[in-house]
Amino acid sequence: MDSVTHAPSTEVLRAIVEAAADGVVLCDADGAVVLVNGAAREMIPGDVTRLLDRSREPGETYETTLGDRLLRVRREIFGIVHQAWYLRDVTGEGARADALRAERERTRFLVEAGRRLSASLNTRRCARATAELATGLLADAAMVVLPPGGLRRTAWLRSSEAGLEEGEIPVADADQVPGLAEALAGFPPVPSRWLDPHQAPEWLLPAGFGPVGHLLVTPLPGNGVPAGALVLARREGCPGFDDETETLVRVFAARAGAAISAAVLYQEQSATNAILAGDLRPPPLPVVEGLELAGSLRAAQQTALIGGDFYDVLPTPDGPLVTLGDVCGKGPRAAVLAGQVRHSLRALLLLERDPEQLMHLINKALLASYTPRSHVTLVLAAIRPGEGVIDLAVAGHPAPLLLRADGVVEEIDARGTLLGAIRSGSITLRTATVDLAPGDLLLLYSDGITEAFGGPTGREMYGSTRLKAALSTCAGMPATAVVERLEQLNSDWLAGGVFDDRALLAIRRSQ
Amino acid sequence: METAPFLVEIDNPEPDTTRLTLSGDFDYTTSGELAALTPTLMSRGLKVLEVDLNGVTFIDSSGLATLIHLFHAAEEVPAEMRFVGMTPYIAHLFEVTALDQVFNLPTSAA
Repeated sequence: MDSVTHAPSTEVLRAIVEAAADGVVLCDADGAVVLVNGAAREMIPGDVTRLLDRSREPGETYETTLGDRLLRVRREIFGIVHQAWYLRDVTGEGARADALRAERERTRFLVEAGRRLSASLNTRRCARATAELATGLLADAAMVVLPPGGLRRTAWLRSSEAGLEEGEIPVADADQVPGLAEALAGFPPVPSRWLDPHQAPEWLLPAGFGPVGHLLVTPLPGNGVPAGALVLARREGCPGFDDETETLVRVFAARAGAAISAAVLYQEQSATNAILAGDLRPPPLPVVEGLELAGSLRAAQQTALIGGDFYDVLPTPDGPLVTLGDVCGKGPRAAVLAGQVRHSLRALLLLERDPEQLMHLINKALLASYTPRSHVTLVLAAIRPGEGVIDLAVAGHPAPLLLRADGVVEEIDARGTLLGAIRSGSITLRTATVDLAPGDLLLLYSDGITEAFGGPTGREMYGSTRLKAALSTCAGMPATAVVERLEQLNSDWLAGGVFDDRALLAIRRSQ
Repeated sequence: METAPFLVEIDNPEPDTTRLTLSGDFDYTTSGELAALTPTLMSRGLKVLEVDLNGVTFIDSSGLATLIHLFHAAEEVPAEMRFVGMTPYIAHLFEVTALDQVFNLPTSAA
């Protein structure tokens, strides 16, 4: 009977069950509750039997709700007399799993948002991506109100089940949406619950949207300036914007705002560039009686379409002055200096038409320039069209080539100092006068043509010998065709390689 | 297009003489290196600046501008800048830009 003596007493067993962390309810064969431990009492105030599902198999686990809590219950049978229910409160567990799921969804959303928002530098496309991303997870309808443009009107884009819509409102109408004027001014967002959805004006929502239940208005912060605002609407009866969502919307708005403001800045810059570049591009060549003129200009930086090579044909009462030049450097900086030289020449031409004198004046102007390293090479050709005589001055530039009507190519014997380079201001020039017979062609070109690296090895210079040979095959061709052919041969030589700015200009005396 | 790397070697054959040996492609993309070096080259006591262009395979307007800048900087010290190495290609380029009228060129190539 020793074993009996040492078995725990009923009191001890009861105490162990009482102290267990899980709830335990013990019933007898008739289903009468014989024991409820402390944990179970705490979980289920009042009648515990309503939670006990006797239809469950022994060992089966099921979940049941009690108020706002979730309980996991397991039924066990001991012998034929007792059945027990083990209870565990898993409300927190479920909430944690839900929170994790929601967090993952938010992360996925932000990753997708980052991907789509970084895909464009176009304001409208960024605004569209913002509105479309926000519809679904965040709201039933999402409107992006862009920062006010000119004329006191502001553009908006809206995404909803009705699809994408766009429009414009007077800036003053922003006051009709609670919180919108403040958001557009860049003030931090106010919680959704402070905004009265019933005040939303009709234009804010798509037709047939129904009553608005919740509004959330968030500024889109740009680079120091507001990039517009995001208005989110949920229908009446939908859950409101909780704290997590409001935080998510703020993070999303920061990304969208950065993307939209970058796009706005980029578009402003592009528009400015286009205006400036327009003035720097080669002008259309005038029609001069007795002459054919043709030019070609290829910038090394194709995106900007501007570079350091330039040409102009400036009319004067005595005949046109043709200029072709190359400023030191590449890209926009070179293009700006090229523009300055072109404008200087235009002004100087009102007082002086002699190429040699013009060279001295331009040189002095460049030496006085504020821009360091304003070095320019230049060819000036003053044409007397009736006589076919051209006065030439060349400064630091490859000498022009003369193609006679019979195919003979001569290099003009003219030389001169690079302009804007020698501080003493003295330049030496050896000018030339060319008699252009009918059918003869004078070719002005920049060193980008002869110094084009390419050919079979990719490392060989095109060189003046090849240019002369190519030119000699152009006898009898119209000026436009000559320029096109030389440009084509030179581009073939480059075979798509890196190249310098390249300019060609042909003056042909009509036959 | 593959390019020849631009190299600048500096040595002092005499106490008051600095020799620059340039090689490779001296152009828009590489000329900045020499331009950046220029102030340190113009040390006090410099009398002669020798420039050896024998190894220069290509030179564009930016390279020329850098040489002109170097020439002016030497004038200010004052020091004499002279070219001790020259290729026919560069001599031709100096002729086209009339820099042969300005620079001290070796008699053999001029």
